Amino acid sequence: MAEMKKRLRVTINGERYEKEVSPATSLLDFLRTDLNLTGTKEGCGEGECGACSVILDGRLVDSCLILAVEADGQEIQTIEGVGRHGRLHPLQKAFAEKGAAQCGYCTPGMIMAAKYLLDHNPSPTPEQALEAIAGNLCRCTGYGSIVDAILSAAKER
Amino acid sequence: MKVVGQGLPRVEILEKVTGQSVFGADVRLPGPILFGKILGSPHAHARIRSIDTSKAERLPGVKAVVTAQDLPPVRFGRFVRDEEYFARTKVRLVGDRIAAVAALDEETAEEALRLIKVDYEVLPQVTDALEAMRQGAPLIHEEYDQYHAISMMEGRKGNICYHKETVQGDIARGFQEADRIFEHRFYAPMVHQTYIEPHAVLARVDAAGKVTVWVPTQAQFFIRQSVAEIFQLPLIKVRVIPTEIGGGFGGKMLPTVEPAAVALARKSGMAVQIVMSRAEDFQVANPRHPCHMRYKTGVKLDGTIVAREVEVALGTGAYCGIGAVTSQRAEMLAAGPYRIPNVKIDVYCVYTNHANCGPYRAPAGPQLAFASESQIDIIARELDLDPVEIRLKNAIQEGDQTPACGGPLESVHAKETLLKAAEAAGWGAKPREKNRGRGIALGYWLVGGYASSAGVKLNEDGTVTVMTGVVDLSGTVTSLGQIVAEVLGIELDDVHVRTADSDFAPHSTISAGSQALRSMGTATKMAAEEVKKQIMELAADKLEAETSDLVVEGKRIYVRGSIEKGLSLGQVAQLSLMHERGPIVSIQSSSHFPNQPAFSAHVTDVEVDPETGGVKILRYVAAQDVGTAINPLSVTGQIQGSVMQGLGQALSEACVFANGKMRNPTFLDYKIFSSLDAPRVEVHLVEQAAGDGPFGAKGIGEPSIIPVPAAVANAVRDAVGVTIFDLPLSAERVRMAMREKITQR
Amino acid sequence: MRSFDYFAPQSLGDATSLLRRYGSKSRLLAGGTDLLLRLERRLTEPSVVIDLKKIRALSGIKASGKGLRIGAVTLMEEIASSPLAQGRYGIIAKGAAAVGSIQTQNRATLGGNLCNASPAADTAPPLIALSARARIASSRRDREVPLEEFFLGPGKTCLQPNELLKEIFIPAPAGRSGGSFQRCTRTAMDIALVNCAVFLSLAPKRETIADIRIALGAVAPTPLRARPAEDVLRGKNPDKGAVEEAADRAAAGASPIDDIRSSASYRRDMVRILTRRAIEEALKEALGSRQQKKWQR
Repeated sequence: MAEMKKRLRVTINGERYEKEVSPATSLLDFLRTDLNLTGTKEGCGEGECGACSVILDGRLVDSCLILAVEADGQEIQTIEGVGRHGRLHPLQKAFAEKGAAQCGYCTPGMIMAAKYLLDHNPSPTPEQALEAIAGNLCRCTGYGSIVDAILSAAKER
Repeated sequence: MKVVGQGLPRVEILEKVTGQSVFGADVRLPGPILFGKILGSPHAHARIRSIDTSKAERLPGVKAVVTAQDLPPVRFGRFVRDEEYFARTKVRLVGDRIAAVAALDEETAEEALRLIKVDYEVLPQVTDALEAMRQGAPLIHEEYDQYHAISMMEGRKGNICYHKETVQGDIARGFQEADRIFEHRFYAPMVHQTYIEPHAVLARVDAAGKVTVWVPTQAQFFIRQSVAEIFQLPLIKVRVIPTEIGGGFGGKMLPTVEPAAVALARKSGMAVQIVMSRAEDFQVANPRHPCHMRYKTGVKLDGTIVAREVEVALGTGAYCGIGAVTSQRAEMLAAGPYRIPNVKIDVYCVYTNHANCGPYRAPAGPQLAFASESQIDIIARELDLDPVEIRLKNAIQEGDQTPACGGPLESVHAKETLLKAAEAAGWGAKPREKNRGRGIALGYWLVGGYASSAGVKLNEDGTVTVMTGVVDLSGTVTSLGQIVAEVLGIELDDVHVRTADSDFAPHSTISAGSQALRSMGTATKMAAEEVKKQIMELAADKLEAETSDLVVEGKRIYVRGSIEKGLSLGQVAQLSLMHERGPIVSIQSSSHFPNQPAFSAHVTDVEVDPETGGVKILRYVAAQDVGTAINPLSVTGQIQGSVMQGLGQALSEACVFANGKMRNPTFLDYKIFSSLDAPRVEVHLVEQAAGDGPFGAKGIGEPSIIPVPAAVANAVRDAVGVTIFDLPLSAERVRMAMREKITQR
Repeated sequence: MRSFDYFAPQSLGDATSLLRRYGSKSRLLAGGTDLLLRLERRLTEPSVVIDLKKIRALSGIKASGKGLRIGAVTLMEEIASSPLAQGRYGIIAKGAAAVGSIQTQNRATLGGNLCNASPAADTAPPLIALSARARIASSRRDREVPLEEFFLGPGKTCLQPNELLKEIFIPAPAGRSGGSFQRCTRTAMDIALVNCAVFLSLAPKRETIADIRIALGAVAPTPLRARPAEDVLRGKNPDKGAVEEAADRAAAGASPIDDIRSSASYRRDMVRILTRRAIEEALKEALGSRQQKKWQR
């Protein structure tokens, strides 16, 4: 294959990375395959399920619908960067306690969506919590426990 | 009880909330991993004239191309050996496997698929079960007679892969005795489990030819068996390592991508990973059987059901898969959870040219309950009876026999569950606002239990490790830990319990059929009790006391009445290593369990937009007969999630096909519920310890989906007076029914 | 995804010269929420992708006495939450807010939504109802077209291979006005089965509709202006019957198709219902609270 690689500099969870990457690589594949950051999941590759949600320069996005090269010079937060150094983020604690993760596959993306909400709105209503996770599909919980966890984490903070 | 009955967080939860869990596509190994891709047939039904892979093999970066030629000529299938992993002479569904390739990168693998040339002779196809049953329909398996089938496969004829008639009483006389007879036809289309993690696998073959497969599966021993069978290997040459599983709901039990990865790994000598795209998963994984149903019911004017005749035709897809199990389930459930003296049930399981249907949370359950419970509601309306009353009047009771279930049934709590739901919802005080309505439905499921074995060992410091091969879907593994902790008087934190792989776990049941906890929990409890016995024997020896005087509690064992006269479990463990009896450990087995009914009764309030036909769920109340809830957090979570899946089936989900190709294989067009569609599900547990099952626990995962489409349909009827006979109750369908009702007036 | 080369020009001039150079071999990338899907499915296989997001001149919302300018790479989220896109421009904020999830709104752009030219695009009917104009740039010359002439068919716009959409201009509406954006979906998070925007202004000191524009989505190969429906109401002080008649005409003028999402006949019905609801809501807004009773059903 004719490879036209581009140099990519990104900061992920506070760490700087510099890598050569093919432009035809999604940010999701870059995270999962090039960097082995497998916490971010692929559920559909179509921007419909939100399992691949990350925070890119302060905005919650689906990493499957972004080219890695578009993130050049930007800052990315993934699930691996939430509650680091052995300490859980209040959301992680609340998700655990409220039964907000069952199979756990949507959980990393769900927590990123919840974190994005709390970053902008520290005390959301249940309706706002439901809105905040509308782009993240969960097939196990029925969403109620996730909303409980978000509201509980908001109180914790 | 101290640990059982607590809503404790799942044992693996911190890995999940931090992104550390390893799911199917997350497995990484030292050395390169090839990308595997499978070439599926573009035709629903065609003869293969030739397959030419030479160009694909020559493409730089391609490390292996496999077809049927690379596999032993084996037909597999649990009930009928009707499937070959790669098609040899014929394809029977869009996506039927032709070949697979492994390459250094995904783009090359995709390119290689394009270079494989297949010459097809396209054949007429049939994708609907009723059409496939007709005389002259295209025959999907011409050589069906030659297939090996197990003895339960009755009534095979043409495209009918299984047909059984179940009779109880005298159906003709029953209808003669009836004051009124109602007959309706219903249809439930195919729906998909849509776990958020698509099928994925990684396979490697070592120098000694041993195959290792990392896969998110609900049934590791079944996958091991299938791989061994397809490649004609002894079981010790196949190791299945179950990864964390991103949802299964029945959809991750049958072999899908595993054999292709193994074939590619064998041929290339390298590790091969295959991850299905969402579209592939929709097209070829094993969804819920589409189901035609005819219900004819005879009743007395007081609502007593005297006869019921049911005909069910399940479209099983191109291969039988577990169609036979689904059919048997349909036989058991068809008449509903009611005592009916005269019953006749005909279930047909029919080959069609669409995706191979498989197990999906209560196979056949929601479809049949939709039909059965809709009709009960129609009857109640016609006879001017209360929907709760008519169900209470006919509900099955302790010791009843129902057709095809066996019996007498024990731990029957149909009435309690109905009443719990009705009471919680405030049934008497119905909302009477315009376009609003309330519906109730009763469902039941029969939970058996397959053979299981589990081990418990006391570690040198007094902590305990559980050895199980059961895969965790619904918190089962945490519940096993709670059971062990309860028996041994320790905390859940003192127990290590995770799923071991097929090389190291004792044989474990599948995580399906709502029976994993009943079966595995029983074996685990037995092993824990045996460990406790060993602890006591050793302690009795050391403490010079009778075992009957010993108390095991708080990580200690001591003589009743004198708490200081005792040993810590750690001391016991240490002593055991010096003692003549040796390390404390036990592996125990449990055998098959009889069918046990578990009931769920749901009440929902809806509002219908009379102009658009849109149905909004205003409230949802679910009562369920769970026996003892080992972990109420898990139980409640299971029920809530199950209801949401059912609501999708009720209102928005359906796999739509054109010429056997799914037209909506994306989340954009296959509409599962998002948080904005989801009502808060109010769960009410009916807790009456069951006669067997660990600490009286019942199966919970499946009963909770069964009444959902029916409850919604009944609420819509109550709201706007229309009956909809086809799922889902999309806005368009509701509007159409409302318009027809207006024009009929 | 097939390999391609990637450029992220910093200026409009650089972008248009890249376009001139690569023309139809290139694809413009804004938010990418549509393009990435097409690349992944190999529905498009460009040799060059030109990312427009680094060009400051293409981003942001600016208001003046003349009207509102929205840069082509302005995010849906920025439009939905902008104080400048509220009030009389409110229907474009509503349209933008309807485009997908938070994740999508944080990435998808107005220009992308329009240039993708989906008949169901949620920003198109509000903009057409607001008489928006598309400002187009190329290395040779700039031009401006009414947005309703921008769309030629599904996935097709009037852009030449060397042109790009620079910004959308919405002229400031005069006098008392009201708008409404309505959509109909299968579940909460969904592409519109039908969408409809209405924008109307009243004659000074009267309740007569001075002008009205009704635009429909997902019922024709392009977003559709429902002129016969507008004609029923223009210059009228409408009663319920007139509104119903306008809605009927909108439905009659639509040419929806049967597809996986809906039947044509359901779509046509929904055009009637959404158009009626949108006119009623727009009138309510224009008339103010004093007159609302008239439109309560």
